[in-house]
Amino acid sequence: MFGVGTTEVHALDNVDFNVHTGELLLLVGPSGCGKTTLLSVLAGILDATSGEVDVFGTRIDQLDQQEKTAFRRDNVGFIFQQYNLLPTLTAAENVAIPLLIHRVDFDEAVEKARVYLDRVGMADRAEFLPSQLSGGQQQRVAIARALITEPRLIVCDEPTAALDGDTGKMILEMFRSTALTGDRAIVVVTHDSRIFPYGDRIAEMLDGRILSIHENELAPAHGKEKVQ
Amino acid sequence: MWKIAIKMLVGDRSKYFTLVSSLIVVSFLFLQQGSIFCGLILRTARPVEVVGAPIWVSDPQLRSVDESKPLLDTDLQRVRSVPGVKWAVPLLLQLVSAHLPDGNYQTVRLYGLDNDTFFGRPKMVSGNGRLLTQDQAVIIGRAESEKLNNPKPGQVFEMNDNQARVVGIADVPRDFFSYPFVYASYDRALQYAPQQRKQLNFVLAAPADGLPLTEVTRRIREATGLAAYSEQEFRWLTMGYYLKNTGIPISIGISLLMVFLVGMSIVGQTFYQFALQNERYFGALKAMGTSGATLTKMILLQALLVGLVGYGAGAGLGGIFGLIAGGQDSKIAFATPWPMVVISFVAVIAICLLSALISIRKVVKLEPAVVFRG
Repeated sequence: MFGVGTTEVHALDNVDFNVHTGELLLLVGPSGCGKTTLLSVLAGILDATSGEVDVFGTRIDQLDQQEKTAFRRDNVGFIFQQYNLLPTLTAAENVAIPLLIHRVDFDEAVEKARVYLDRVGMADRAEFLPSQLSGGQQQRVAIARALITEPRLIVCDEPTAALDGDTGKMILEMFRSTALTGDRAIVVVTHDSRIFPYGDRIAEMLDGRILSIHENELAPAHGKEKVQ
Repeated sequence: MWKIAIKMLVGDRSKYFTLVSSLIVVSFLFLQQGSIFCGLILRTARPVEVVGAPIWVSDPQLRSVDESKPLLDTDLQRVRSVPGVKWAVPLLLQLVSAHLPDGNYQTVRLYGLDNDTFFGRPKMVSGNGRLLTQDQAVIIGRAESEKLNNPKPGQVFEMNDNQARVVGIADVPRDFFSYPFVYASYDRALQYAPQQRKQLNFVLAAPADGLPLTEVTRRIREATGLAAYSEQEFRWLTMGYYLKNTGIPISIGISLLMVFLVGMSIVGQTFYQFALQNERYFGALKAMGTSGATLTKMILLQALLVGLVGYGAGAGLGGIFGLIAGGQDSKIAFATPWPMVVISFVAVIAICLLSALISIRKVVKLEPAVVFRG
């Protein structure tokens, strides 16, 4: 809930859902329905006004800011709508950032970044600046950055919004093939219907509520552990 | 993450250039203004420096070397008789008016040196200083000698209706008042100076071998009731007088304050702009788990880097300015003692760190959720 009194806004209202490891959950709905807010709460960058947020057995709603920061560092990977690659760093240096946050040696981190860039087909662009890359290439770099610490939860906010249809589909295909593993959960916020076939389950939201969560018949569901 | 911090800063060329160039100007102005201030104040003590006497004895009410509160002639013997005083000689030091051959008058600083030892005689540039023993002989300091129409050895002028014949030119630096320095024997100087009841301005002395200076000056004070200073103390007494009784500190202090405030304003604004324009990147770093403490250190490192680069270049320019404009014979008073370098450095770093606080506050308070707002 944001605001107080007459300016109160219930961004999320009685949300109750879970995400399984090994699955890619799509959060869909119109603009302003609370998808991004839910994602932010799940990732530990926004505090829920009330309720429980349990991520892999950790009640992140009970953590203080420092503990939440540490939790994100150790468990969460991010993919942003606008990529948010630092413009003055090369692709490899951008991918290395999560390792540097973990205080890994710079050269070692960049070396490992090249490995992950190779996994997303960007090995030959490791020394390029973001401005020298296309939108799809930048998003692939962002995926490598999200994967490099092998987080158990990856959250993506409109990862294909800035991409054309074919590129968006290519990104999601690659994302599923490289990122989705048995012990990882991926939550993607989107209103891009073109990528709906890539989700294992789809949660539909409206006005801060989850209207429905259903299996996506076009993609198999996996997973044993819950994020809720 | 420190390499990331540096690359974020240096990669944004326009911001980096703005920060560094602002700090170059601030550093240069700080050092330049500060050096002019130091140069002016240090020049007030030149009349003391050029003599080279370990101990200066004067009237206890005297506030600077430029004041005239003469001693009794017997004070010389009194100082000589103090245990621990190795030697003591008289010094006449007064401002007198020189009448030049072209009819003009010029105030000069007249040194009347001990007749026997000529202690305080400066290093010669031309002519023969030993000729000071001759009748009417004077030595002229090279700096400001143009005010005496650049006299050569053999040329004559008058002081107090007495002829003065130049026997040499000495290597003497400029002082604060830009008076030419003229040296004569003590007896000769008594004739050049206006007649007063008392003429002995100072007694110069030296401690006996092995005795500390402070002990001997203390003994002189106790035995004679006069003021006794080491050369350093007398220099600082004079400089302190001009610091307290002139507008120099306030004027230059105001200039330095303006430089500081303008520097802070530009650097602070630029850092803030940098934080604003990189808000989403800082948000992304926070989202990915970078702590506020780490981001703070990154920004402080950026501030320190531009400070060091800016100061280095600005100080270098200041040094070049000093080389071109300064020097003991230069009309521009310019001196850069090491405390001035340290003060300038501290001021520049303070500007950077205080300015960085503005953007640190912005970044630390930033909600990482900002990265999810398209």
